[in-house]
Formats: sequence, C-alpha cells, structure tokens
Amino acid sequence: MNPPKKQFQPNLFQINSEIPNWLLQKGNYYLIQYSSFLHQLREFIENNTLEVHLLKVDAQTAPKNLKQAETKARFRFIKSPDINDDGNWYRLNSKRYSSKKEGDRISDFLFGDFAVKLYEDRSGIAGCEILHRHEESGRIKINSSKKEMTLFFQPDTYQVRMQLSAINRLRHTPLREFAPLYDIFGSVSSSFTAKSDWAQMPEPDWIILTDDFIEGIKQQREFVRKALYSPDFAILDGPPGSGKTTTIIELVLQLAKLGKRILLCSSTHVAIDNVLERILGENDCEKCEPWVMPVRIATFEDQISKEIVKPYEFRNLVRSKRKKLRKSLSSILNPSPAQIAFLDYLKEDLANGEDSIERLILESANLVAGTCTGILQHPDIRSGKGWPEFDYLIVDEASKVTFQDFVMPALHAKRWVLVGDVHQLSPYVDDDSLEHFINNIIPDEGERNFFHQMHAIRVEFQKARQYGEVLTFFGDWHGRDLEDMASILQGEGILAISLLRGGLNAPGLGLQINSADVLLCQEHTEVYTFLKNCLRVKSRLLNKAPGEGFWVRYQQALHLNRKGKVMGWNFDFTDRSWGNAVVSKITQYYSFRENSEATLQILQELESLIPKHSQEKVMDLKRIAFPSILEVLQRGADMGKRQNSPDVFSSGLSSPSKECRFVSVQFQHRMHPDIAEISKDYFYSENGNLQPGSKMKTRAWHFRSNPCRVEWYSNSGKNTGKKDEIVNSIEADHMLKILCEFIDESTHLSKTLEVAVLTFYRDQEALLMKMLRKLFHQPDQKYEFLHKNIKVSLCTVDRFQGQEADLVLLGFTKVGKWAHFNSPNRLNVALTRARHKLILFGNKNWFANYSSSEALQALANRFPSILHT
Amino acid sequence: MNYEIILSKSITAKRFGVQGTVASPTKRSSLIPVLMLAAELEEEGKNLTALALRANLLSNLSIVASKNILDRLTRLGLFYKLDSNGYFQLGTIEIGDAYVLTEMGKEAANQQEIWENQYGSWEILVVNHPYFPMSIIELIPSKFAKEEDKEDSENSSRQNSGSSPLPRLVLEQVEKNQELSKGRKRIENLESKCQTYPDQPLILKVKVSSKGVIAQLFQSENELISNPLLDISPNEAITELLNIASNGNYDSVNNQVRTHFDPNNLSLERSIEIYRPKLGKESFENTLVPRVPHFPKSREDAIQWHYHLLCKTPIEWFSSPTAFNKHERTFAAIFAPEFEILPVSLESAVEFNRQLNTQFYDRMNFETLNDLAYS
Repeated sequence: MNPPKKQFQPNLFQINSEIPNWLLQKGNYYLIQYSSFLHQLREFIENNTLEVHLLKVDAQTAPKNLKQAETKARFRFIKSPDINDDGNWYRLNSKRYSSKKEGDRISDFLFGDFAVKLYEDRSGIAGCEILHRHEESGRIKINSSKKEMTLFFQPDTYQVRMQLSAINRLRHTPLREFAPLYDIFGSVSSSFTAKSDWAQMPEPDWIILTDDFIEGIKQQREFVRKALYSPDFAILDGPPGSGKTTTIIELVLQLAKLGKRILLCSSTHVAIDNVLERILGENDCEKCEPWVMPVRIATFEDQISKEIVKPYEFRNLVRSKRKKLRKSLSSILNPSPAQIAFLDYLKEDLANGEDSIERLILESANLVAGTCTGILQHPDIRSGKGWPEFDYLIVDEASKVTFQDFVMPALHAKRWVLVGDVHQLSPYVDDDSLEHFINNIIPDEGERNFFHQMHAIRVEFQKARQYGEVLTFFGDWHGRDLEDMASILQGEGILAISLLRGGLNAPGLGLQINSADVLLCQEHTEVYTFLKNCLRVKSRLLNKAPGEGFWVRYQQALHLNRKGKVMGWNFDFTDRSWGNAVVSKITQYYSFRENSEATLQILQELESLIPKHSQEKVMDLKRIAFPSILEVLQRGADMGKRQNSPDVFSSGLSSPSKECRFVSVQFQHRMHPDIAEISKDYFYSENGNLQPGSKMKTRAWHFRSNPCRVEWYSNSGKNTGKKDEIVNSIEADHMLKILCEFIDESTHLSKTLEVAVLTFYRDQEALLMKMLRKLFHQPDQKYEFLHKNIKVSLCTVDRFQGQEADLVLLGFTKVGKWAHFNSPNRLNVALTRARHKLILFGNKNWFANYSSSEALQALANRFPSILHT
Repeated sequence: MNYEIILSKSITAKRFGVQGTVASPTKRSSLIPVLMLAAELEEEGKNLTALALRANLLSNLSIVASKNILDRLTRLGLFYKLDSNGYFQLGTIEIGDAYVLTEMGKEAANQQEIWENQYGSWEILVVNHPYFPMSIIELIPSKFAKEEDKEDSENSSRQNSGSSPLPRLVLEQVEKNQELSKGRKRIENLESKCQTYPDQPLILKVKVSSKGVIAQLFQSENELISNPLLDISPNEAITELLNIASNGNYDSVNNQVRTHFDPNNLSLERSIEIYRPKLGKESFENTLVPRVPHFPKSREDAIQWHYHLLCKTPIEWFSSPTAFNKHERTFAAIFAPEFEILPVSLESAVEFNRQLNTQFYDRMNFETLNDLAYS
C-alpha cells in the first residue's frame, strides 16, 4: 500500500495509546476513507429533500389498533414537551409516486430509526411533527387537519454524524483500550498477537449451557470461555439454529456474575429482542434474574418486537420507576435524611426535567441492548462524553453490521464479541447514496455518460459478433471525435461514420460498412440516408435510432421474403445512469462473492464500465461500504490493487490469532435434516457446519411430512407485473392455497404454529399483503396475521434473517441468471428459516437446467414437486 | 495607613499537552442518597447491602439493580466490599456482599457531592515559582475528536514539538492529589508522555496590603488564573518596600516617610516610586506607591514647610481637595499644636475666608470649622 503523502504527526492520544506509529498511519489511511465515505453520505442525505404525499385517514374508518398505537407508542428520546398531541392519522398517497420503489423508500425513512420532521415547503421553515406512527398499518399521526397534502422532509443525518464522529474519535483520540481496533488495519502477522490462557482457566459454573449431551455444547462452552478471557475480540461463527442466542445468554450471565457491564447490539431489533425475551421469559428467567438487569434502548417503542421486552424499554422504565419510587418513599412515616434527599431528587426531576432517575436506571443496568443505530439514543452515547463505560460489547447478527455501524458502540466498550454467520446476508447498503458516491468519482456527467455508452457498445459488440450482425450505434458522443472513440474501443471492425474527415464520400465506405462489426454514427439525416442506401446486412440499431420511416424502409428492404424477427432494437441509455449501472454491478459483485465464476464475469463488466484511473477508487468503496465487521475479521475485505502485503482488514485474522478468539459451531437444532441439506452441502461444506442435532429428524410434524420436508410447487416463473414490477400472481395464489390447506389441517391443534410467507421481492410482498389481508379479514395488518393458533408472518427474505417458523412458504417469483435469489448468502438465509417444512414456489425445471447457482440446481434436482390438483 | 502596593513582573509558564483523568465535583447525583444511607447505617453499626439498599431506597428496582449501583459506586472508589464473612472481596459479586464507605465515600456523603472523573486531553500551564504552591496553575480541556475533520488546522495551531516525559513538577503535584485553585478540579492521573507547546507569557502581580500578601497570575490583562495568599507578613513587606523607596526614611511606627523640606513639593501625601522592588528573593518592575504620608524629617524642615504652607491657599496644601479632611489628623500631628495655621497676609486671609464660606466649604466637606484645627 502506498504511504499517505502527508507526514504523519501523532497527537497526544496517539502518543499515549502505545499503538506504533506505522499502525496509526495505516489505520489513518483506512479511517480517512471511511470518513470521506460518511461525509459524502451525509452530504447526499442533507441535499435530498423527499416529498411525502399524504392522505388523511377517515376517523370513522381508522383502524382500531391506531388508538392502541397512540396509547402505547413512546417515540422520542429527545424530550419535546411542547408538542401538542392533537392531530390526525395519515397514510402515504401511493398514487402520487411515480414508482412503487419511490413510495417504499419514503416509507422506509418514515418508519426508520430516527424521528423526522415534515416541512410545508422545501426550505424547511414551517413544519409539523410526527406525533405517532404505526408501522404495521403504515400510518403516521401529524398535527394537521388537511385532507390531502404534500409535505417535505430531509431524513435525519444523526446516525451518519455519530458514525463520522466515532471514526474521527478513533482516528484522533485512540485510547490504549482501542489498540485492538487499530489492529484491524495492521498486518496479518503482527496484529492480534496477544494470547489468552482460556484453556487453563477454571471452567465456570454453567447457568444455561448445562446439558452435557446436546451436540455442539462443547463448542458453545469453548466460545464462552474464550470470550471471557479474550484480550480483545471473540468471534462466534454459527450457522442458523446452532444456538448462538443461547451462547450469548450464557456469556451475558457469566459476565454479569463477574460484575461486568455489557452492551448488546445487533443490526435488527428482532435479534436483540430474541436475546432479551429469553432472559426475561419463563424458561430462563429464574436463572437470569439474579444476575441481569436489562435496559432496552429504542427510538420508538413499536420497534420492539416482543411484548415482554417493552416494559424494559428505557423511557418506560424511567417513567414507571420514577412514579413507583416516589410513591413508596412518600409513604414512609419517619424518613431518614437519605430517604428525604432521594425524594427531593425525585421531585426536582419532575420540576426541572433533570435526569436523576435516568441516571439511576442507566447505572443500575448491567445489560444495555439496542440496535447499532438505536443504541445511539443512549444518553451517554448521544452526549458523546465518557469513555469505555461497558466492559463488553456483544454484537449479534454481526454479518449485517458494517465497520462504521460497529465502531460507534465499540468505542464505549473494552472487549468486543461478534456473533454471526458470514454465510448469511451482508449489511444493507442504500443504492442511491452509493450512486452519489460513485458519481463523485467522475464528477463530470458527460464523462460518465460517455463511459456508460462505451460499456454498452462493448456489451452489444459481443452480441453482434455472436449473431453476425453489424452494430449500428447513433449518438452525439458527448462532443468526442468518432475516430477517437473508435480508437478507445480498440476493437477490430469498428468504423466511425460522420460528416467530418472526408465524410460520407470516402472511397469504399459503402463496402466497409457492410463488413464492419460496429458502426459509430453521427446523428444526422445525411448519415441516415447514407445508411439507408448502403447498409445491406443485418444490423442492430442502437440508441436514438432514426425515425420510424427510415426503420420501415430499412426493414422492408432488408428482410423482404425473409423469416425471423425484426433485428432493429432501440436501446435507450437514459433509462439508467452510469452511477446506477456501476452500483448495480458492484452490488451484484458483492452478492455473488462466494461464486467465483459469477464474480469473474461481473468484474469484467465492471472493468469495462469504469475507466482504469477510477477502478481502484470504486473497489476501495466496495471494501468500505459492503463488508460486515464479522466478514472483515474472518475473511477480510479483499486486497486493494495498490496493496503490497495483506493486512487483517483485507485478509482477515491469521490462524494463530483465531486460535484463542474464534469458535465455529457445527451443529444446528432448528431445521429438519432435509431442510438443512442444501445449505450444509453448498454453503457450509468447508467447515462441516450445519450438522443436524440428533433430535432433529424425529420431531413430530403433521403437515405434508412425507415424502420429504422440502417440496416444490410450480409458479410458472413468469413476471405478471407491470413495468419495473416483479410480481407473480400465480405464485401468490398457490402460496395462499397451500397456506389455507395448512390452516385447515392445523387449527385443531392446541399449540401455536408459525408460518412464514417469504419472498425475495418487495412488489411480490405487497401483492401477498393484499391477499393475506383479504384472506384473514385483517385489513390493517401488514406483516403479522393471527388466525386462531396460526401466526402468519409475511416478510422479504432479507428482513427475515434471524427469525424462523415451523412452516416456510418461499416464493422465487421469477427465473433469471442474475436474479436476486442467486446470491448464495441470500439463498442460504431463505433455505434455513423453516423448522419442519419448506415449500418452494418456483420453476423447478428452469432451476434444474439453467440456474447459475449450483445450490439452486441441487435444490431443484433433489426435491420433489407437489402435484397440482 | 491602608497601603496597597502592587508589584508586577512578567514570567513564563510551561505549556504542556497532557492526557489523563481529571475529577470535578457534582452535586446533582441520584447516587448521593445511597452514600448517605450507607453513612446512616454505619452510624448504627450496620453495613450497606444490596438488600438494605433496596429496602430503604430502591424498593421498586430489582435486587440486581441495587447490586449494580453499589458495584458502580465501588468502582468510583466510594465503597469497598466485604463478603458475607466480612473479608475484603474482589471478583464475583454476591447478594450478601456488604459495602463499606471509603474515606472518599464518607467525604462525598458528608459534602453531598461526588467527584466525577473525566478522561481526556488537557492543556496545562505549569509554573515553577515559590509563590505558587501548585505548579499546575491552569487546566483547559483540549479537543481532538471533532465531527468535522480539522486535523490540519489543529496541528498547525498547536505547533507541538514532539512528545516528552511528563515534567517532575507535574508528577509531584498529581501525587499530592491537590485540588487546583481554579474551577475545583483535581488531577487523578496522567499518562506518561506529554507534548510540549511554546511557553505562555504571564503577568505576576503581588498585592501587598494590610490584608495580606497575595500573588496573582494573569493570563491576559483581566484573566486571573491563580490567586494564592502568600505566607509573608504584610507589615514587614510594606516596611521593607517603603524603606527601599525612601532610602531608609520610612517610620514604620507612624507609617510615615520622614523627608526634608522641598520648596517644590509641599504635599504631605506623595506617590513614591520603588525602583526595582524586591520581595524575598524576587525582584519586580519599578512601581509607584500612591499617597504615602510624608513628615518633616527635622524641626528645621517643619518650620520651613509650615512657613511655605501658610503662604499658599489651603487647596494647594494637599494633593487633593478631600485630602485635608482625610489627613487632617496627620496634619495636626505634624504641625499642631506648635504651629498655628493662619493666613500670613490680608489677601490670603480674605481668600481663605471666602473659600471657607462658599464652595471650598462644600468641596472640603468639613464638618465644623474646628476641624481645621485653627481658630
């Protein structure tokens, strides 16, 4: 790696951190990249005013649970006592949006982690506050009474600002305790060299992991011991259903026993609430209660997915405890001076809005839990004051947490425990913000369009050769000389046709155009006429082709008495920008990173799309924006081209470093062996993970238990949606049919059963939502439907990571080599959610014969179809 | 006499960038009642436990919450912990653990304030001067972590000259654990390396008055950064200084400078300049002591002085219109009763009389004519 040009001058923190200068310098190199990325992200968000079209929900027809939401929802961490709670409920007016994607995006922001203020004009002067929101029904309550209106909002940049601040803090004020965070940027051989003698230490008294005969318990215990004595990081790699949550709980208890304070984070609320539910729930409560006092931090109460966790939400705790403490202290007849003083504090709190009780609750909690973004609402983290307040940070679902997500909570801890599975989904990256960053690499729009066209020509050139056609390209070429363009493309048989340099009268031009592979043509009527008269071979006409008249004459002349399709085709570049194309490819590249054949092909396309001088910058962005902290430490984020030697960031931890830090759990206790089979063979074969626990095969199941726990159901594989929509109504019908069959067979059972209806596409999810609402007569529900003892969850695969169900209905919706579901990580998540039965809806034959994914081919080949009746 | 002699000189302070923990007191802490409760129980011969805390104060929180709070206070050094057998305990926390107030805890309970630590980087000014018992005379938080990336400007403004070990002076003071004179702060500990910045010029002013001798350090004209009372007798200091100024003619018993008659300066109160004054071993810049009473050195001097004074209007006798009133007794001590103060000519008598009857009377603010000590 080239050293940064500027001479590195360590400041006071850097001097005392005892981190060697060269490591600080190298860390600085990476951290500057993160800082630059976040700066641009912030800039993008700040300059991106969004329109919110709202329709008032009639009070008469307002769903009942909105009232419930009003009483239950606790939103803001920031106290805003001046807000009047009077207002009306509104929903998004989806008709006003040009595409569903746009509406979805607005919805994501409105129901995201941070409260937003809506403004009446773009300047952001007059605004109204969101008083309440109800994500399930997609409604918000605002202080307005208009029937229909358009408001504006700028998404909050708080999260990005906090991340930026954390990156800069790590960069400028590294403490001694943060040295391991710098080790991430150090060389593989000299970083993370500290050892722990965990194996020599006495085995703790196990609290949860008590059953010696459960497969995998040895590894779970080993991990807890390694984490307890690790000098810095501990990493648990566990496939779905392998007991990661149980291991986390044991670790939390062991740490609490030692008087440690723990910060628990995850990328999703569900993962956090799963841990807390187990700690507070009936089964383990007795074991946990003596040790753990949890506090759940969330921006909105409705984000908390488990009812049992809600009383432990920070604001709720403060409210309830303040009231109760006041009451109990006031009732003492002869209070002592300490009691009087305490009561005074409580009274003052109410009068002055001070935060004594908040402080008391925070001091008394030894487990503080929240998502990586939600935790930013913690008063101490918000204020930015204080240094490591927690002894341990445990990150669940760490495969979805980027370094920049991780670093903010990480700076408040002294040890870091990462739990996750790199074979599952990686962090979500917003395409639009990424496009902004990519566009900044080539600031000139004309330049970007030019490279986009060049790429398109190259792609079409290949096709044209394959079919023996002449590729005829029209365009204004952004002011470039066509001869230069031809030389840039560096291919044989490329001919520039313009009125310049001899123009159309050059000798032999008529012959040349019929033997060329590519014609780069100036958009001019004389050129059209020339082509009309001279072009005598099959040609594919691209981009801004001449008028219909020319077309008709050309086709008539050329294809007269010939069979076959019309060869002309108008390819419009304006559909997609260069930035968008790059983002799409780079995202694809990352999604398919476990498929080397696919990545090679995508890489070639990326190289064709991006000019050489910018390729490294784009690849740097890929390394910054996409990988999770778990992946960075386990595998690395790829070597940069300019990099000479591997570092941990690019190549992951070395084997000796992993010895005392890393454990991989091999057994899974969630899925029937049939269901786990494909993932075991294709995604976990390397480490032999996902071995089924011995009890998995014999668990009782009533619905379509034979012949196999995985079955296919045909969906025709055709997209039945409008333009830009990915929808398959036949598949949706079939899914509901199977669901109804299941309900018929299951409602007589006493236990609660969970069904997940999963799809890879949001459009399909929207269609299914409509159908499920109708089926269950629950028009206000969005993702959760309850019918007698059956709980039906509707979800996209991406959102469902970390969750499971007894029966999973998984729809593929369409077929395609580069379709979403071909991503190995996504497919793995989709296939590992079902406990007892997995029914796949897709074109089995197509997958068996044409899919680029070996796992999908095997899935289609190994499992039978359900015969349609 | 109430003299106020101000001696001043420029000194320089060493300026260091240090990193460490600084404690400052906070009154508003909900944890104080916990300490108070512990003190109350200790008076009764009992120790505080998580159960006792829950029973007495935190009745609606869980036992583990009470335990965590006690553990937190232990980490702050306000408690130490005994296990159920009464042994000092480290490691695993148990419900039955008893928490005993440390000396710091007792003080916190008594003062109802808890010293809270803040870790960070600080800029300190250090002086090595006998007048200042604390060598660290100023401590300002310096910020490195900024949301915006301003590394370049920060570095250039600080002009650091590399790292060096902490000076002994600073280490000694940190060991003493003394509260800094300004802003109620206490340095708990510092990292071993510091950065040396360019020296900071300061103004040292020593105020010598009957109230005491105070050494003051100013960063700028009005920014006082240290103000300790020196262990120097003010009377001795004044005598020494005025003796220097008057070439040994200062009468410390009567607080007067004995001086020869000078027809060009009849004033009985004069500013005198002290040339390169010294206090102890420290020398200062030349200074002026205003309104020092002067007294004729001999009878001859007194006669001459008296004669010349009588030839002038009373306004000119004194350095200011109010001086006569103020120093009337001194005047009487010098000249009366031996010398009568009377106008020597008719003109001066008329003038004197006129002024006595009109504005002069008002301006002099005499209470009675008798105050003039002549009839």
